[in-house]
Amino acid sequence: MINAPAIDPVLVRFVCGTLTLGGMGSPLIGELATRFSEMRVDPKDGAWRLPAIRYRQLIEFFVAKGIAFLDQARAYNRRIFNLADDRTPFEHQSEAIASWWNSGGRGLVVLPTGTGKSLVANLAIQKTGRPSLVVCPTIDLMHQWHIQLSKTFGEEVGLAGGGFLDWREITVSTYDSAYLHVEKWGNRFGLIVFDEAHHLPGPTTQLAARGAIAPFRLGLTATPEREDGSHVVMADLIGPLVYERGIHELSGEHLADYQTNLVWVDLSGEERQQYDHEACLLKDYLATKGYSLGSSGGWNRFIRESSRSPEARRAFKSFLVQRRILQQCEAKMQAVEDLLERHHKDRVLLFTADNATVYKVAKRFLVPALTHHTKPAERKEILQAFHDGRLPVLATSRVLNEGVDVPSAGVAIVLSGSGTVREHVQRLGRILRKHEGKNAVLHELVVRGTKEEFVSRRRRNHDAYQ
Amino acid sequence: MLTSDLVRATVYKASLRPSFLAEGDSAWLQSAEELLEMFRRAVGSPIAFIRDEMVEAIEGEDLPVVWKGLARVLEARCHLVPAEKQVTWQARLDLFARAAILRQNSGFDAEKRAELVSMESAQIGANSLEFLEALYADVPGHETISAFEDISARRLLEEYNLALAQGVVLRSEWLEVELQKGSTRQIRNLINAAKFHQLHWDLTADSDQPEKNIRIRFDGPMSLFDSTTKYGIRLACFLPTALAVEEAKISASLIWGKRPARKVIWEYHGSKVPFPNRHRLAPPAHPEIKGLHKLWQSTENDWELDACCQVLPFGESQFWIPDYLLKNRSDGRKVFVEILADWKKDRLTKMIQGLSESPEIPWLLVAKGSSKRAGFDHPGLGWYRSFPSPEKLLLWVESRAIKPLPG
Repeated sequence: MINAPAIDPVLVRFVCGTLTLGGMGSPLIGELATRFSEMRVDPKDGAWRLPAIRYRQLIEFFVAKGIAFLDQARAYNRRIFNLADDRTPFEHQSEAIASWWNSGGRGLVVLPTGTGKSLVANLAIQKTGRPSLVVCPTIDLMHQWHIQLSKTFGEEVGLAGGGFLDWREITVSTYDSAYLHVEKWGNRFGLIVFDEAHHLPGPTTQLAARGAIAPFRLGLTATPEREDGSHVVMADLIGPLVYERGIHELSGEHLADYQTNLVWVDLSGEERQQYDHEACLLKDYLATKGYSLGSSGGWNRFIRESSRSPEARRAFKSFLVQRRILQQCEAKMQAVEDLLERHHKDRVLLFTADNATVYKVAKRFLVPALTHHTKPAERKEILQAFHDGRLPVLATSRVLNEGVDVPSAGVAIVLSGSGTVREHVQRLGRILRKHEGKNAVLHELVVRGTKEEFVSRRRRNHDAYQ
Repeated sequence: MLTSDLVRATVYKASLRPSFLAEGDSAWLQSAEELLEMFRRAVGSPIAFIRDEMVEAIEGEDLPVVWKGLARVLEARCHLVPAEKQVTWQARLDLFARAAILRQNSGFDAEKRAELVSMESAQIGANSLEFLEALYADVPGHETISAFEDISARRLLEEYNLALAQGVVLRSEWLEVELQKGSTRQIRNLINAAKFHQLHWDLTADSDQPEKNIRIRFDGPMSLFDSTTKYGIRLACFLPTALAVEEAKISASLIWGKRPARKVIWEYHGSKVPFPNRHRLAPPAHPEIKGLHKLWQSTENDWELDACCQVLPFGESQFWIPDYLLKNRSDGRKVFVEILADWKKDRLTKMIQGLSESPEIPWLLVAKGSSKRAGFDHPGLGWYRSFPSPEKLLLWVESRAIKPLPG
């Protein structure tokens, strides 16, 4: 595309995830360096470079200043995408897309799981009219998106990830493949949809956003905050928060009605004795050293000490034994037995904190285990059988926390998990997708008189649990 | 090498200090010995046994990072074989489907489950306990450790330090090796290793004394956009060769940390800890190098093939370290030869241009590929497909060799 080719236009090219700028005089270099702090000379070839993410601001800057430029970076054209999906968007979906468009086609939309984020993405692709890339965190989700987009737009959709590398005008990729191959696709899409966008700020995954020129960007998530605080970079990578609705606002009409239920259990006499004994050892050690695990730097110090000192290692073992008792105690197993009996007609997801407990539960109750070790063929068969009711109970640790669509799931049993709000909200989200006659229930198993009480209080600190 | 989650280092101002373990430290030696004992005991057991031994959490987030790192080094020394009895995934899903039907009819209690398991066990000739063990025996962690390559605690700490240094360079923008008094043989080894690992580098030296004050700067994975992981692993694999060079000063510019990432420098002087036994680090000579020597000796010709140990200034402030020097026994003609497996067109063009401007250097470059695909050719450039044959090489050498200029 040539704009005002009167005298020496600036040549803008896309090279390996960056923009190179050629044919600039010193005054313009100075002006650009002031405007773009990331601009610098590449010592390898002497070219002025900018991260590809700055493409939009750069072009807007040239246009605003009337600077002639030759755009050889963009490798896509506008086109029309026809939606074969005749569903009328719900109010919240229309509002979300309108807010996003009003914000210049950049920004983050926060909606609970099961409220039709994929339709929002479809509408964004249609509205933008540019080749689009959808990026998601797992291979399961990638295939899910692939089926949905192929059906919605009635055309071949590309895949990048899980052994596929087929770039088309609508393509779905995993975050890993997106950043690994950004130099190949970074100038081929006008819109990038970041599904489960809270994954994007990871140190390597964010290269997918930085190495692409796409002027339009849409982030979709139910839980934007990250424990490490790095979610703040999303404003730069995607755009500002443009729309947000909570679970409470959408339950009933757009999400299944639900209830959350705390199930209190007690340790057996022997377990309690061991738990208290180990707790005592740990407490004594920390008292001797004069710090607590909750104090600033306390945990790191404890870990450091247990690398070197046998006493600290013994205390560390106490910590882990306590954790194992809480995760696998007999009362929890009995509670699972009772709940499976009570929900013997329902689709049930059993969530644990670790894979060891998943396999223990799977063997004890003869239910399939789904972990990151599960091979694709088995995983596909398990999810299909869960969907059609042949395998109505599924034990998992983290792989089903988010994204994977299990619309028929109506009951979640949380045996154990981290203390994070995000994980707990995502787990609740798995069972909230609207389904005929569904009343979702989340049972959270908590051992009375242990630190699990505190962990449970912490992870329920969200309006969905109020 | 250690992955980034296992790398321990501290940053002070703009300088990075990897947390190497002192081999003489009794506390570290004791920790290493404890771990080694676990691995020795684990031979014949599933690898998960170690994880149980390490208080069930080798893959957990909470185990001390040092222990995880040490265990990672030792895991690489384990030979694993699959568990003897395994249930296929189709068979276990069939079992779960039968269990689901019974559950849906209500009253599927522990007793009924035991009955079902007992029936299934009989079909594979196992008891119930063995059957349940075999149910997920195909999952990683259930492989049996058939052998463990034992080492001393001190050696484990050394290998950990090397793995840590390799983990550090995975975050590098560049890595520089500076040789003040390095022998040309050491430089030759470095260049051979760099070529073998297909690294990109620039060499600078003093024009007057090119063998002294040599700096070789290698591109790091963080300076690239393409295939950074693969390149990073190649650079990490090359690192032991650089560390093995006595009196070398190694420095690297790293992109470190997350919020936000910043540039830091890691510096290592060859004479210091933590690699007192540097000679152990250098990998053996690469088979390709030996291969050509062997092939050459099997061909009857009048040329002597020697590994070249010269640093030749050429063109405008460029330096060349050829692979071989070929000398004709009868007439004294000679030619320097470099074999290029991995090359970039602009770099090769620059090199040819520079060498062509240096008539005192008889040269021959042999590149992998074909002139047709590369789109250019030159009389000083030979092409090979998989391995340069001595016969072809001989033809090129004859056409390129010249008698040394007097003086």
